[in-house]
Amino acid sequence: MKNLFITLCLVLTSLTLTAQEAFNGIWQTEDSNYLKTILASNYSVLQCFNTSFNEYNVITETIVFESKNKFTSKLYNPDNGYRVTIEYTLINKDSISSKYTGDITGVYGIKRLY
Amino acid sequence: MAYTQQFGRPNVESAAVNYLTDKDKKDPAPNGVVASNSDKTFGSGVTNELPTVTLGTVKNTKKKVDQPKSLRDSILDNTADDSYSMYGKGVNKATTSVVDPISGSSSQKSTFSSNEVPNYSASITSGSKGVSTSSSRYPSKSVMHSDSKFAETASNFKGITPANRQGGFQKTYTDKNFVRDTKTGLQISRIPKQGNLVKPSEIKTYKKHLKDSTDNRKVRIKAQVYNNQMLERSNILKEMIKNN
Repeated sequence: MKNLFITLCLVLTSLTLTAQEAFNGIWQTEDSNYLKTILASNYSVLQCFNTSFNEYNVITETIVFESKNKFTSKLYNPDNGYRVTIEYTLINKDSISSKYTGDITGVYGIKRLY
Repeated sequence: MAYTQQFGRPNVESAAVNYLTDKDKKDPAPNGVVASNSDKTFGSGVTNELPTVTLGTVKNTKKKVDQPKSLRDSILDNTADDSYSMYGKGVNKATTSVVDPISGSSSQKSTFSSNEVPNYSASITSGSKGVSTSSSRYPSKSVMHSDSKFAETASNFKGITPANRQGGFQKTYTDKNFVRDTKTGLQISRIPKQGNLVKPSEIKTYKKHLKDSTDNRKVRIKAQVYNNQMLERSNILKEMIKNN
């Protein structure tokens, strides 16, 4: 029984760690010309920033919350004062759902490019 | 220069003759009076060398009358022919404002929809004139049809122009999916769908297509103006013959 419990804990821990790392990559948000880069290690989401090769601009996000297959970040664009909170939920290894609140409200799909 | 009267009435006297025959008189120096900017008869900055004439009082008081538009202007203003437009007839373009969720900047986004493939042809009064196509892919018809009111004149127009080199057609046309060569129907470039990225080469093709469209339209307008002028002249000639 004790061994089973330990094994279960290890499996759950492993699943949790894998879920965080699954965010790692370059992503394309629908209706946006920015490419979203998420750097995630086995343990946490380290950094998230958006790059536009059309507007020659980089917008960084501040990560404020993390859980197993979710994380929340705050985005502020100093160029126009645009401010939103984005909640990312991992759907599968190649897609994320992002829920925007703040200056814009809506749910946008994100697909993995890399 | 001195002037001596040698003919005409001997005792004629006039201020002008006296002035010319007076050896001591010199040409008057410009007095520096400048016509006003609002004077429509003289351009601004004209030096008045005639002290007896006040330029400022010479005004163009004739009421301005708007001239009727020329046939060419009327056609250009009122009869835009969209049958050869970039996206072709039957292709609907809807533009909406989209906010980028990441940057918050708004932009215009165009979507295209079509339920029909436009038909292109040139009809002339004596039968049908069209462009033979060597492509089995598109269009399936050997003669393309157009309901453009300029098609007729374009087909009848003589001379080397970008349009009638193609037999009255512009070089390229669009269906709902592609920019195509008018004569062969071969695909030259795709029409971007919603969300698709547009390549520089495609933009170049569209620009070329648009230029060709515009040139073609100008040619057709010119042809129509020419034909209408000829028609008017022939009618006048007929009237003259009838009356005499």
